[in-house]
Amino acid sequence: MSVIECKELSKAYGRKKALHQVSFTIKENTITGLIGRNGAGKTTLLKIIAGFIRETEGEINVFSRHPFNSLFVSANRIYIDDQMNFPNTLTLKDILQSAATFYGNWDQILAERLFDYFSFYPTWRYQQLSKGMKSTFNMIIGLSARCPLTIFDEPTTGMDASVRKDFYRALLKDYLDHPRTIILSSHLLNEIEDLLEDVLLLKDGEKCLYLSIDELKEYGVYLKGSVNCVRDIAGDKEIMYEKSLGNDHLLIGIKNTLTNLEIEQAVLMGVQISPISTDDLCTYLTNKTIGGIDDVFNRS
Amino acid sequence: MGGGLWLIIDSDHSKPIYIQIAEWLETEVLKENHKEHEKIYSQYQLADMFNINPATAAKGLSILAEEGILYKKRGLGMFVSENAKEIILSKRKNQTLKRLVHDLVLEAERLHVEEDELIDMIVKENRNRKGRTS
Amino acid sequence: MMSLTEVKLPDIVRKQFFYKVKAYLSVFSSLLVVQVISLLLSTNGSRMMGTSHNGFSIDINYYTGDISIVLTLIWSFITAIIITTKAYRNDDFVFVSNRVSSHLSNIVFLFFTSVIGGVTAVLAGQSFKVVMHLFLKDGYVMGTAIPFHELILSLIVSVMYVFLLAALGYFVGMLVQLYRWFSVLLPTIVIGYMIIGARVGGEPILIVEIFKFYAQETVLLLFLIKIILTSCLLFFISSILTNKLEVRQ
Repeated sequence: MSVIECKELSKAYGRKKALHQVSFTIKENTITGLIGRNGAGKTTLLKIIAGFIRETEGEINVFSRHPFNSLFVSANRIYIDDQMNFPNTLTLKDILQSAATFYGNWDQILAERLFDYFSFYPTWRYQQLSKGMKSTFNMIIGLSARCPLTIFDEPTTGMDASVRKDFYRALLKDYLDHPRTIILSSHLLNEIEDLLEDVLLLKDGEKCLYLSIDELKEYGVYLKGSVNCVRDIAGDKEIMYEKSLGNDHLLIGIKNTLTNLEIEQAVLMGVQISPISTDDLCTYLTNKTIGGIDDVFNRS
Repeated sequence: MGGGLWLIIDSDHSKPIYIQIAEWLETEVLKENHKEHEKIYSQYQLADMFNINPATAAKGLSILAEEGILYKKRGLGMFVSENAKEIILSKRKNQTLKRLVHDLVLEAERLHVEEDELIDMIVKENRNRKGRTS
Repeated sequence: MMSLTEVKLPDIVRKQFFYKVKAYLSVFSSLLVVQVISLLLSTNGSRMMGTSHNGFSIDINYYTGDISIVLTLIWSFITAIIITTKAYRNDDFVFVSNRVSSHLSNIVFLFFTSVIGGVTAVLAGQSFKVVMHLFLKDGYVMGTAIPFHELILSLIVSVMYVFLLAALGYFVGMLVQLYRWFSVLLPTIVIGYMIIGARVGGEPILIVEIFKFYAQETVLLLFLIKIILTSCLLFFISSILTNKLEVRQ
């Protein structure tokens, strides 16, 4: 069963196109990573899915319903970002209690245990918390609600590395016990890649790639060696990254479509082949030029 | 990351994780930690142990199922096949070892090492090992 | 997959209402401040009269608790505008909501605040007179005793007026949310009209007529119906107009 269906989804603010004809389907019980640069349209897409804003064109169905203004969708999804403003008249304990009344699958024991584990005090107020603590608290709510569709939009803002690791681990463990559909938008793909099943990469409001994490890990390879040999092997394949190393050496990144024969040739020619990591790959695919930031400094 | 099983994952990412999982399971079977017709770890258990998505773990399991090392019992999970050990050993000889030989020969060709010299190197290394272990 | 929950609108409205009562506590504390200020202002006396004749002089000071109700009306109007602002509207969407449930829970909440506001205004006014009775030493203090059923009547009427002002405030607030320029246009029209009206005939006719429509109604039931219908109309229009408003942007 598909939980989210997008067909040619577009969202424009005046003349600016935040999303342009995005189409994809997300199946139930999957963890999908939503990746892209700032301004690529990730948050816009997630807010349309959550029902907060409305699409300009195209179709969007969540649980087979149009999410905007749907009470049903609202009750079965939760959207966690770093703009959750809980009122200051409630203590943290009150907020958890309020959340419990709204969500049918709320697990109070899990919430309390996470609450204690991350050293919160029940009498604290939300506005007193540091940015990282706010994110941690938001995460507790997101996990404990056990909504069939759980959306985390850059949930780790301000969290230190060990808390982030705890978050990913807690997310995985609860997902294993209570499978649901999770969308996780993050800038730290290298940290979350093992947690993901699928990856949706957005570039300038358009869908760039939608693959399983395994396919993404095998998507691109580096060729490193002398300029001539490397260019020979690469042939006329599309180059997504290029960097010169010293006088005669070249490093390029291409899509992994090499045949076994070509691989053998490469080894014989002394060209090293290595996989492109997922976060580098996403950077290259969304770069403006194949040289990346180095082009700013290459004045020749 | 915690210690233990999590360190087994090849941290330089050159082998896909689902293949690493498959190989680890093969080793478990060879060591007889799981005997024939015994239930092997589920995708969820593997996901928990290795801190990965269960779909990735499931991929590792299905590779072994395709090769006949595991079989599926509807509703109950994956079990170790009758001749699992033999299949694994044969696979390792025919595929893994053969691949290493292929890579070795290719590298030798790249370095312009003659066949005789290459065989010499292999024999020497073999004798060295035998000498050390006897 | 986690099981999908079916939800009913009344349940959500109820839950949102209780959440709002806890979350918007500052509304009630500001009401308290308003009542205290109104009492302090009332001690000044509302009118004074004096006359002297043949060596006698009489000074009459009128004290009334009316200021309470006036300030409460203003408080209600402003509170209703405040809850239509972005920050408060977004609060609803942290958990489960749609725009209909948001409006309905706001209406219930505003009715709740109107009851509290109206009742405290009347009681404050009354208790002020009692206090003044105790404190005024020189001269004679004369007060009219109010029969109990009239007290109840004044409670109901106050609550209704406060609620009407809330509906008006909500309507205005929502219009401003829709079209920013309303926040400049509306005050300009209202104040401009009052100034012109005052200059020409001594009274801004339209506003006085509207006021008389409610204030001169002698039948309680008709009065209630007028207020409720007007309020419902205002709330209804506000909801319809803003049903497509985006949140949490």
